Amino acid sequence: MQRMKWVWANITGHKWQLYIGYFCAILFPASQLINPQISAVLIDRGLEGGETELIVPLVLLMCVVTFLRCAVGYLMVVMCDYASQGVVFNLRTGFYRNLQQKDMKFYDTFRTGDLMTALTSDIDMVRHNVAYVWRQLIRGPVLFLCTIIYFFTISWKYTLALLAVAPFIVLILRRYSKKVRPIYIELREKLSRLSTNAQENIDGNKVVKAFANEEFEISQFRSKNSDYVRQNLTAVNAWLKVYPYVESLSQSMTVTSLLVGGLLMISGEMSAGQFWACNSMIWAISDPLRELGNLLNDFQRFVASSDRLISIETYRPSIRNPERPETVPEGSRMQGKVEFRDVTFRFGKVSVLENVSFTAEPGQTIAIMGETGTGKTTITNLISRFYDVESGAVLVDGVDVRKWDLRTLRGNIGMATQDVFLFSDTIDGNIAYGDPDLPEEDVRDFARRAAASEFIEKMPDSYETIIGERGMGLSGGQKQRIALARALALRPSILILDDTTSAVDMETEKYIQQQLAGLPFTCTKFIIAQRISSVRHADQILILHDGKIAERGTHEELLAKRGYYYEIYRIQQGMQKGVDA
Amino acid sequence: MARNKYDIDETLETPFNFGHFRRSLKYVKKHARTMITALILSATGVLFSLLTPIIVQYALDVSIPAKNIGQLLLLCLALAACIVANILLVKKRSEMMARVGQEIIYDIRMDLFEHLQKLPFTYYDDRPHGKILVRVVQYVNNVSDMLSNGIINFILEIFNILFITVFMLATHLTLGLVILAGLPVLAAVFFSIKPAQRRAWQQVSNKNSNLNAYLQESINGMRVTQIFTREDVNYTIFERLAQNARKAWMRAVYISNLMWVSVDNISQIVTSLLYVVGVLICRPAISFGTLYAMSNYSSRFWQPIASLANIYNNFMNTIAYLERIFEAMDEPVVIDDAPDAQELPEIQGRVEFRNVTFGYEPGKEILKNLSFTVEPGQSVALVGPTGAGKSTVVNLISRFYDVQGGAVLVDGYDVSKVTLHSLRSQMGIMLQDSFIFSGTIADNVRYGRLNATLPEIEAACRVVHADEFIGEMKEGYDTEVKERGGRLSQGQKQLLAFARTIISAPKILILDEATSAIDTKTEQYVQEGIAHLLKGRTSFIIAHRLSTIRDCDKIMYVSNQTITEYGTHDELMAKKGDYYKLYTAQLAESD
Repeated sequence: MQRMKWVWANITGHKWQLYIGYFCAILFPASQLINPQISAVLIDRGLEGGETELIVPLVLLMCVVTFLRCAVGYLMVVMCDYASQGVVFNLRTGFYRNLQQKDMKFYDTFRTGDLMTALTSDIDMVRHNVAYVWRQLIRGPVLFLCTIIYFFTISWKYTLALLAVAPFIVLILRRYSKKVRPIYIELREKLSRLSTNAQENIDGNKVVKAFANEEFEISQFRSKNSDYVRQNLTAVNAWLKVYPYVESLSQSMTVTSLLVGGLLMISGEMSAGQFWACNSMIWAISDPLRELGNLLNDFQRFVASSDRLISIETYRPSIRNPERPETVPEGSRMQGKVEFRDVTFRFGKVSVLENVSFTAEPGQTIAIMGETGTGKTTITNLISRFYDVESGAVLVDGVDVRKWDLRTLRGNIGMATQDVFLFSDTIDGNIAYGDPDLPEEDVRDFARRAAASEFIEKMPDSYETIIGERGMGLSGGQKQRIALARALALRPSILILDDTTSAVDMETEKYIQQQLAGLPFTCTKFIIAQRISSVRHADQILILHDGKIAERGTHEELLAKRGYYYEIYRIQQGMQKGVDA
Repeated sequence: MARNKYDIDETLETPFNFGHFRRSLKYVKKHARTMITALILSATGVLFSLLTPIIVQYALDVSIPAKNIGQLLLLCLALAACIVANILLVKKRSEMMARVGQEIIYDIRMDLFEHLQKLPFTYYDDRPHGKILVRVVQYVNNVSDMLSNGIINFILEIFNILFITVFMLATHLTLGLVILAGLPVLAAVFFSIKPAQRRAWQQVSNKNSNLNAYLQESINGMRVTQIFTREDVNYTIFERLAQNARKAWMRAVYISNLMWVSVDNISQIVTSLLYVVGVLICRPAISFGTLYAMSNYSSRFWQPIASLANIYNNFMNTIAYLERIFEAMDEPVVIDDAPDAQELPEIQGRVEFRNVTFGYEPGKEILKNLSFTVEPGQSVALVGPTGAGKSTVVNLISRFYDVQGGAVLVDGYDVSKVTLHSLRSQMGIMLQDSFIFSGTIADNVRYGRLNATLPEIEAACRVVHADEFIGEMKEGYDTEVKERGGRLSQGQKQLLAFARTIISAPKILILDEATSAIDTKTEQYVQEGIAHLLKGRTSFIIAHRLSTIRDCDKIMYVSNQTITEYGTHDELMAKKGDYYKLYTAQLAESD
């Protein structure tokens, strides 16, 4: 029931269309009963009675009725579809919004393929229910009840005899309904797995080819595909197992009608005319019962789908906007002061950062170095609040990041990461991603600062070149430079460069560093890098080791310390010179 | 074709192409026997259901007036028997057709998927991945009913119509013709809305494809969107796409529902005319019995036509999906085994470029007349400015692209004349993009060689020093990682990708910026680890940090469409050319 409420809440703005549609669903079967009445008159009086002058008006009337009936039917379909499309629209946009508010933990839990299945197949199942199933669930009982009442006025014995099978049908269907629910939940799951498999294969197509693993991929997909197909058949067969019973019972009404009607006629309690009237309308009580099974199937699929959707919708991200968020006054920006106070952070039980403290004054450059997996990227994720600290606090401009308005906070941070994600859009659109209204010359300017203008201008459509998803078609270094331009174009107060130039050649990197030193706006810079050359000019260099700050200081100070930094320095120098030796 | 993005509709082929349907029959054909059986079962079922009114009629006319209760009971039993027989036939048919329908979509999906495996990088680079996914999953699901039950019902209804037509015309020719007179009218309606209907369903598939493409990309790029606080802009775009999808759907609904409305109205008008003509115009007037029978036939003639209109609508809908599926299946396999391709025997690892010319786009050559030879076991470093074609050179060795002129030879075999699998499975290629599949860490490393044992996996991880961070994880090698690596750091992903490459034990190793995300110290360990691995294997290494290539046997400086310098480090230094300049610049930088 709470599922229906959930759908109902999503009908907002389309309720009256649905009311009209469902109202027509009541009217439509009723209108189907009019023409048979007229045609009875036509036959009795117009043809048998010889009142030929009645024929033309009566047939015209029938045409008008048909026209009106079709109009009602058309209205019913269109309105129900309209309302269901409204629900689909609301659900889609609502979920899109909802997904935007989810945190990294959510995306670590739900795979893309899962979410795609939810937003396509599951929403479609809701649509089908609103547009069709529920309409029929209204239409059926209405028709059933009206007919029953009509039958009672003719003969209660006859009616009760017909109804005798109804409880059995309901009983069978109730048992079936319980049994079939897990089957449909499983079916939904199988589809989701199929979809995930296909999606990863598509996204990872380069790796598949590099390892010549096409056959392996095909065999993996084959098993998912056949699992899904088999589950579909399981569902069909579960239904076909009860189908003969449900169908026999509901169609047995025809037999009952003949038997009981016949006996009643023999005993004189029912006239032939009455029998004909009733017998020709048996379908109106048996069809709703027959249809019930299929509607039940669709409804159970709806249950499986809506449960999945609701579980996604109600997943409460742990990163949420605070109740009373801090913002900066309109038109101004953050100062860019960043402070870590005794920050400890864990992924599950694995400790990532332990008691990390440091302060970055506005405009300073902080470099972070350390071995793979020691928590360098985590520091940047804590500043932009993609995760929350376990203990301690991260402060930006003296305010705990958990108190900042998320949008304000992130809006003031420009980030370029190692793992570059670009969108299938023009290069211009990608650079202006954070500010779609960015003037053309600014796009060019930031591209130039990121050492990207040269290769961009060589492309066939220059800045209007459409690049593929994830920047496919570009080399690693080119992608990184576009990502850098994108971050710069925000004119952020805090600029985070997470190994942004790892795939860029050294000359270009040097150029980029010079550009970063002379940006047209002040910003606090965090630079994560492997190369001494990238970090040596930083105001403060932090060396992370096992989640703790092992060393800190300027280039000179750290060299004097003769610790990890010095060691790296020696290695990198030695590597260069070693070739000479 | 220009690169596609989420808001660009894929081109439409407006005139209806019957070929798509005929082609889909290929999938149906292998079930012909089952389908014919199902058809016979259905037809038999129809006969049984035709018997029921006759039984009722007989009871009413004979048994009841005669008050013969015994006979009435007997007739009731016969009626019940007819009903049960029909139900059992329907059940059987449903079982058969469900299987056929599922097998058809299974086959179509496998064919599509297998074809996708053969398509080149460019196919995936040129369009949003969501547009590919929607074909594999949703579109295929949508065609099953049409290709199984749809076909059977179509045939049954056609028979139905023919059967009734004969009866009708035999009963009364004039009145029969009156009923048939509705057909041209219907045909006119049909042909006038058909193009719009087809376009409407095509738009539905188009707009849904756009929506899905944007959705998938949004999910994959959510982190970037959040950091750039672009939520509102994206929401507006998505809203527009959702709006378009909804409009397209409604348009299809408006148009396609006109069909049954027309059928119902025409059938009513024709039936009305029947009375008018029969009673008022025909002289002598038609008998009541005939008239009654004819009006009965009329409704039984138009009912299947209404069903056909419905089937046709589904058919239009299905075709819109089928043509998208076939379009993907028709995508040319640019790189495929030559017809007479032979297996590449176990190789030594000699690589030769003979006058190779290549460009990604015609007329824009990246490499021109490139020739070089690398002896087995040699290691070669490729250096040069970004975009000069270093990655292109290695992509040609593994035949991700075909050369436009000249030839690439491995152990003297032209790579375009051996099977792709035998070629690539002897190479270990590490790409810049370290894609991680969802599964365990062990699964991901095993991806390099599917029959690798756990000790082998562990050994490979030790070589690249990935064992340390794996050991720290709670479940070690059985730790589940999500697609794109979830919680792994970029460096850790790269180490896994490295281990994955190493475990494939290739004769030719290609490392494209393999250690770019790894810190200096780990990198040094890795270098030591792979140093002995490189022995006896030909290797191509692309790296920006010249320090990482110091041990290479040969250095290739790639620029201006060719190799400008080729030799050992010392030789190139002595030459004082581009390499010398680059090297000294980097040296100065590290001081």
